[in-house]
Amino acid sequence: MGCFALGGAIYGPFLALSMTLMQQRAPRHELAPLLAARSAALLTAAPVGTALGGPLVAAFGPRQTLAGSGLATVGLGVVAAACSPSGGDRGTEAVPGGARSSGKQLAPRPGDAVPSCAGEISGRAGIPARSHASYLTTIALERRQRHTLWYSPVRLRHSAVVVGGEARRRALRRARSARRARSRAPAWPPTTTAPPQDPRPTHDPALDTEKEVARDDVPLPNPARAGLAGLPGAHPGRPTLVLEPGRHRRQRATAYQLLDLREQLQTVAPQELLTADGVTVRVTAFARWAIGDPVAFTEKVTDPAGSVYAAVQLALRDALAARDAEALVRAPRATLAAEVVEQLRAAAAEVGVRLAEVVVKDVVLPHDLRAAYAELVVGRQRAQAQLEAARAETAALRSMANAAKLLDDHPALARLRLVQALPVGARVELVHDPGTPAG
Amino acid sequence: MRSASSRLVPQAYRPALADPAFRRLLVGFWISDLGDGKSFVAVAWLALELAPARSQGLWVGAAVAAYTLPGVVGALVLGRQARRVPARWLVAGDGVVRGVFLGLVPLAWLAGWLTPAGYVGLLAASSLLHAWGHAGKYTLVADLLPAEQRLPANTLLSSLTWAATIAGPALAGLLVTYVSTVLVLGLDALTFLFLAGLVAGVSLPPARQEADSPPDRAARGGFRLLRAHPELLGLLVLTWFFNALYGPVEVALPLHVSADLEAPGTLLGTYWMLFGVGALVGGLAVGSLRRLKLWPVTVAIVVGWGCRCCPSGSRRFRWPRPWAASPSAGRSTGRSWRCR
Repeated sequence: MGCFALGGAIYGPFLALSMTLMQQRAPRHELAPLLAARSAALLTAAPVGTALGGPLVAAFGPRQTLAGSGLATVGLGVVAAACSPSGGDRGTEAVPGGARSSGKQLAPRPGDAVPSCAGEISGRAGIPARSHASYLTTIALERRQRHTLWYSPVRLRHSAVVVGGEARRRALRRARSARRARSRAPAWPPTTTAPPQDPRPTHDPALDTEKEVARDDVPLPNPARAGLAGLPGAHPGRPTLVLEPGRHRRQRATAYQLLDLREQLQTVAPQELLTADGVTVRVTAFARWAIGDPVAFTEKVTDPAGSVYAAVQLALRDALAARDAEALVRAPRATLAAEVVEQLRAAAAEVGVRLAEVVVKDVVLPHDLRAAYAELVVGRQRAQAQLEAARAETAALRSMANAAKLLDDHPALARLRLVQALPVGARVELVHDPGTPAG
Repeated sequence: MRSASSRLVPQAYRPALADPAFRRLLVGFWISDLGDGKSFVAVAWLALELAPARSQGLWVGAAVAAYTLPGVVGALVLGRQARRVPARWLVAGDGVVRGVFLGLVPLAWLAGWLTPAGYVGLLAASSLLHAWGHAGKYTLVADLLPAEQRLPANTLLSSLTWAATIAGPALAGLLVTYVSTVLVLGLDALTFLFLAGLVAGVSLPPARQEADSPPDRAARGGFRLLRAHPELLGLLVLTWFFNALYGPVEVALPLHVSADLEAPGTLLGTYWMLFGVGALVGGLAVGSLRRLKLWPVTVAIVVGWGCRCCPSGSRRFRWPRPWAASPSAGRSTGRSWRCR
């Protein structure tokens, strides 16, 4: 009798488990059609089996039919065990911060909005909750410092392992679709100028998604700066969530990417650009930028830092092409920088970058032009000096003429001036001439 | 008293049962399942009463098929319209259609208009939305409860269905014997109408009501959606073969028992009752586990069930008269044909 109770106990949970699996795995809005298709398909199963049962019993006998059915069911289970997703098995409990989670949940730090955040995750994305058994670590995010992008459910394990046959074809298809999705990303920067030939700045290799996909595990976040795996293009339509600062449960088959939201300084290497009058000038600049929209930052372009760099270069090129060399030398640098920022701000926001400032450090003219400018300045100054000398001489002569006229008009003044001019110790003889009136 | 009774409920079931909407749904589904279990006996019995003596087998087969198989047609034909409908209206619609058409059976019988063909037609019309109603039932659970409460909720639903499947035919037997067959169908119709009213009045959480308006992607067919989810397709294939492999067992067991084991009916009835009790206890026990790896346990059930069937084919190991008592045949058919 115990055997029958055991048989019932084995069979009993199957419906609930299979329905729970459907509810957990299916996207919310697709659940009803999927369940209806399941119901329709399963309605045909038992009649087919029963119809097969008659001939089988007639051919082999009831006992052998029962044994054959049992063996076939065992074989079915073995095949299912071999094909069942190994990495994607998830249990039934919610992410921490939900209404009911186990004792393994870590207490949030004071001020961290973990419960609301976790609730937001499960509610907004409709992502099924995972088993706590598969949560390996937690990630702690500093407030106002970093945000984490949560791609879910990205199956790194299945994307990385290429075993040949259908699995290989699937992996190749996925890679192709990822490339297509990347190529469909909006072109940025929006200018049509050829890309600059200057060497790009060194880019953090941790942000290279394909390299990360090749790994099987998700590395721990580096407190200083870390980029974790993500497949933004390979799973279009999958939700990408921005986790708020605080503690979050790390889940398997989910790729995390830590992003540094602090301002970054991007120095543009010195580049030689043509001005409107055809003069080649050498310009050095740097840009201050930060991540404004983490989702756009990771999903629009594959190399956002490089894109910022190239965009600043091209905007500088455009701004200089509209100016003469002389105007460029004379104009304040802030005007040029403001013009570049205005040109870039909208395009930067489109890829999730908040551009704070572009500073033009140096504008260096070619040597010949610099010498010519120097000679011009020297000549100008020399002429100015000669002019000043002539002016001074004229003024002196005019003053002397005025003095002579005064002396001529007033002889007594002339005599007085003469007496004043006599050196000390000189002898003065006064001679009276009766013919002249006394003065 | 209340706290003492709540202590008896396992911890895993408490969050789901704390939801008043889910409690209401549970009652509604159990009552409709009970009516369904009763009608499964009554459907065949009324066909026997209505059919001419020469073609009774044909009409009984047609009635049983008409009570289940049009659900496949409904799932395929009405997919374009039904897949945009929120889950609660799927359940309510299925309840209304079943209630109205099953309710017409006793009315037509009382009026003297009920013919075998009309009876089969009414049964077929009543089960047209069956697949969608079944889908809506579990979608409603997903809408109503968060992910961690769904396994307990599903086990509660399936366990009540088990209980109703066991109790329903017994009740139906009494009613058919002492009252009337059409009364059983009338009661079944009332239970479905009751469920429809209950589901229509249930209030979903506001956050989940948005999910009632699915985006355009849901307009794709269910089978096409299944192709986009290989894991779910694999689960469906596994379940299909699991159910299909039960078919030969269903045919072979009665012959095995009668020819090889010569079992008395009362003992088989006891065994069958034990099987039902085991299913109830097993389902509820699994539902109370909070950390469960769903796929391995599902596969283990398939393997365990296969192992459980294997010894019955061996000559050395003799099962003591398995499961093929007369109620079990109907119940087994009911279980597998009703798309578990």
